[in-house]
Amino acid sequence: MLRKIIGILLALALVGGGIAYYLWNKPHKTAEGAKPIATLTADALIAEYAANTATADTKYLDKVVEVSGTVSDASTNELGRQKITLSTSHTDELGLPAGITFIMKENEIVPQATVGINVVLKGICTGYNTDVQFKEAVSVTK
Amino acid sequence: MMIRQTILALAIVALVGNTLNAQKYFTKSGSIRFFSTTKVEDIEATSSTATCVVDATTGDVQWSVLVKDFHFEKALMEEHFNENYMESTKFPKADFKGKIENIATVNFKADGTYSVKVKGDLTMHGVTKNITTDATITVKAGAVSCSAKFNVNPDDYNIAIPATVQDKISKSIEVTVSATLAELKK
Repeated sequence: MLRKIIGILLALALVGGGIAYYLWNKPHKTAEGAKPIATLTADALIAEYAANTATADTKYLDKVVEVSGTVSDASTNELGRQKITLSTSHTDELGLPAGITFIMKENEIVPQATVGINVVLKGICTGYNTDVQFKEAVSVTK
Repeated sequence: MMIRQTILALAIVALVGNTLNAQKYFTKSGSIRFFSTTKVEDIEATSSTATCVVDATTGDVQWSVLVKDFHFEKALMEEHFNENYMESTKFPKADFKGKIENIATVNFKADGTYSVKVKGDLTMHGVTKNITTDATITVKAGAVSCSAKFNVNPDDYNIAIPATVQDKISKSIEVTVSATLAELKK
């Protein structure tokens, strides 16, 4: 009886330990393999955010969204991630072009993302701060 | 009488003109890093999409960052940070609006390293606190950059750290901001 109880406790401890290990080391959620809740152009997305940020946040924040547009900037950020900005026809409070900015997921490089090229990207929306921003993004363009 | 009116008119035009021509410097790729160190562990997170605008004439300075843009090495920490501590769906942005108090000592057109004092309102998690920090503005070969390091206490911003992890998160978090600024062309 005692051996049985010890056996069960050990099994529980192992399972518990395994779950804790998985949670501690689980990978970041990315847009890879996720179905977007919306597919729209860069202009359409920024128009929604510019019209009503709170409503757009309710719709898009933390969700995977697919956006098509023209690359206006592509660079690498300090964490080594590719950062791609799609242009829009909107300007921000400083009169600067407002865009849709994607931080790509780790090791996701979009080689065709050069200025003037059309691409389709999907990422997890993080909100609106002069640009609409996305993280953990992947390329949909083949 | 005519001369006084003319001088007054010219003075107003010069003042308005100066304000209209106020030179601004900006970035949409500012870096904000925060770092917590305890005996149990070190935690850090970085955002590279902060916006910063500096008015070289008035010294007005504004920073803004999306909370969900902070990247942690551990996905679970990032989740807890957003869902439990910063409640970033409710409070998506953190902002600073303030002034460089001795802006007149900075010559944005001459190479040099300028020590400045910045004072203003930091808003995060729905709470605004007035803070003061030293900062550095560097001008080199026409490029302007700025940086500052200061501490924030989560308690001050109603950020509740559960008792189970209080030994893992410092009561005073070190924040480092830095940016390379471009001149805003009219």
